[in-house]
Amino acid sequence: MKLRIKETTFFIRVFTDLSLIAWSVGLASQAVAQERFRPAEATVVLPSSVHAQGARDGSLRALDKAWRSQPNELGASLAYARAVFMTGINEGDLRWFGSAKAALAPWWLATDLPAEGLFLRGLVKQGFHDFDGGLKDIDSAIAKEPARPEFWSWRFALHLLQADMTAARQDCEEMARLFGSQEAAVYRAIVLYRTGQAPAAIEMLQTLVRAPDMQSASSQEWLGFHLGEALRVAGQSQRAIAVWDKQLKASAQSHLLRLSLAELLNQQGQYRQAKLIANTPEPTDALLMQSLLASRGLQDGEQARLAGLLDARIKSQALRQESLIERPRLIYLIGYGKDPAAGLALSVDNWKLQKEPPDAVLFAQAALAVNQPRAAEPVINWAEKTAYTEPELKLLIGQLKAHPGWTGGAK
Amino acid sequence: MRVSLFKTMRQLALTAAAILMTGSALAHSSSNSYLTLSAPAQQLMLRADINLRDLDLIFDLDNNRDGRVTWGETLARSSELDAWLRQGIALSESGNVCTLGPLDLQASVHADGTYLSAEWPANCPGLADVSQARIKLRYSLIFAQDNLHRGIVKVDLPDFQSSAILSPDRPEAQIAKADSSAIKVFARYLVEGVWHIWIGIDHIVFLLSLLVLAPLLPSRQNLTQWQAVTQARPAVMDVLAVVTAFTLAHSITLGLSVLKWVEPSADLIEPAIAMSVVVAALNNLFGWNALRRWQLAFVFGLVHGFGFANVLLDLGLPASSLAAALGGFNVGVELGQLAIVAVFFPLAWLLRHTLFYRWVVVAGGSLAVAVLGTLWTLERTGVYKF
Repeated sequence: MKLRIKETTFFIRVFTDLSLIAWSVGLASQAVAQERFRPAEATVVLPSSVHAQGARDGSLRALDKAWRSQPNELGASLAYARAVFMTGINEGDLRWFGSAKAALAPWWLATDLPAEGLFLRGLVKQGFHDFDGGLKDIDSAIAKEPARPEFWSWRFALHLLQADMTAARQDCEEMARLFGSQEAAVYRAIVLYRTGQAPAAIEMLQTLVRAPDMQSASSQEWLGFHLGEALRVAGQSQRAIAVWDKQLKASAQSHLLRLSLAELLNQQGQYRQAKLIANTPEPTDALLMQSLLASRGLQDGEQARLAGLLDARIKSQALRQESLIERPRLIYLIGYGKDPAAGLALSVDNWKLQKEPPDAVLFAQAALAVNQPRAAEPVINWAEKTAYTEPELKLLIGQLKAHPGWTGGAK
Repeated sequence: MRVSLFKTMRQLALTAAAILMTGSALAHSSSNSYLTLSAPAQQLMLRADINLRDLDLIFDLDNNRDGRVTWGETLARSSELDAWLRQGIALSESGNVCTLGPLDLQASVHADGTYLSAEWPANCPGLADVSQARIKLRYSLIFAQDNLHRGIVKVDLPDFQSSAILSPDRPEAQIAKADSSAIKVFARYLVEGVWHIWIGIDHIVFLLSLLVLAPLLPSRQNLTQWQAVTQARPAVMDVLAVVTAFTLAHSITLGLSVLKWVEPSADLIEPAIAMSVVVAALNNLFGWNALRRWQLAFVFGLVHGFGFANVLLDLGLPASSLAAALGGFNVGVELGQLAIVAVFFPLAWLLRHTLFYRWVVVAGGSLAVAVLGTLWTLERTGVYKF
């Protein structure tokens, strides 16, 4: 039975891949067939200058200039790589990761880098889904400079991402020993809400939010995100929305907060608010996807335009015949319902690279949509092994197991 | 010290918070430029559409520092842009450098924003018929600033359309109508076929397991007691029968699979190929006679053919030259296989009288192959990970 289902999934994948090839070939012309025109000189052609985004105060300009004048000078390259990597994280824009990698290119294979170099290279590697390579570099950085909190912070994050809860807990203990219990408390709270103990995590995070040491804007943004996430995982969606909404007003440039809030609002059927949050002058693919979902919910007449825009972006990316960001495409195929069968095939591939709760949810949704519950068995195994807590996933796993196709009955 | 530690911790931990949602954190597509070669009215034209976001990253276009870029601010840098574009895009035809004429700068709107659209007439010495051009396009813009950047090339010449993807590792594309001919496609896939059989250790091991007994006379005695064949003809015929049966069988399933008539999952095929190796080795060791070796080669050749098809599909098949690609790959597999036989059989023939051949090569080799095949089977069925 298992094999029969795997085979069906394989057929779907072959069909999808060939369709995508045909799609790419067919659309190669469209991707470059845009009409040329001469705008008036006063026309704004780029609403946000790269160097002005995120209130960077021109600091990126200076780092960029220093790096470009000496691209083989390690110090200037590391400073620039750090700046653009952080920008990429904050803006949710992969292009900045490409810039960080370009800055580190002369040392990409170097073995004698200082801790900072190993750390940044590790960050960029994980950004390109090389989690083992990234972890190895970060481990080496820690071995060289164990007193750098950020190294531990990222190691913890990577362990959690790999669902290695034991290692993540050990990182918490090490951080408590090296940097104090208050620092480690945040990480402990994250492990707690990820493993079924959200109420305890919420209590810890609320205490931390009020702590005098944690009143800086960056600390509040960080804690606000995790408090909202803990509340969401605990099933307290409206409270999570309130926390994220408040935090976003203080950290308007945070793409992570904006996207998390837009997603949750859409999930809760609060489409008008979701549209307001997701609708930015230059939306990322993920925010555009949330705008589209909101428009569908609102039936505001924008659905076709937004779907066309997203479709065109996805097809432009398909021309590259490589992709690092599958989630907006997965949501488009599965959550939006464009093509759940293709979404299932893509989920199977995506799951090999990335195993996060949202990926698990989409995988399970796709398997249910095409009546192949067994196809999502890896998700169930992963959820059982990691004890990851995700309310929506819990419901979906129940539906998968209750599906007639689970026991080999109706297909 | 404490305050400073907290500050550092928070700022960087923020990024770690984001990584916990990697998929969400990376939410925007990578950067592409779109390059088009066309020939309206027999004049070769090169167009490059480049995202203004990427140009702003390099040229810092926002001259008045109001946080946005206007078309006027972009045009004010025309001469710099022209020089930069020309140093990063090079075109040649049949080895002769093409000169780019006057630059026409306009804009175009793509799904992810407004692009600068640069266009030049390209003058290539000695090019009489554009459709027969042998073009080399080199592109290196933006790679130094963004390692993920790609140049998407589209060729739209009379009677010839093609495409290419340019990257930091592969910044050059050779484009010619002649390269898309059936002969070129056949030759390319022939090489792929040879290469695949040579690096496909499971196929080689299976084949050699079937051939290793060819220089020996079958008998009811223990394998190590089999006598050497005295005349070459029956041994050669045996080899030919096995090779022909294997070839015929995998040609059938390769064709069926590529043409999408039969599409078994790789999850089934890969373990089955591993099991075929085990069966072939055990057949040697225990002298099973239910199937003769050429029959075994045929039955399992069908399975190996599906394996070849998976490789061929992974290579990507040109829809316009499917038959040439399929034929080339198949012939390549056969040539690669014959080369292996040509090396192995003379050696086996020379050694056939020796104890070394019977004990080490045949018995020991078959035992080793049986173990190896079993390990592959366990690995490919997911029972055990090595």
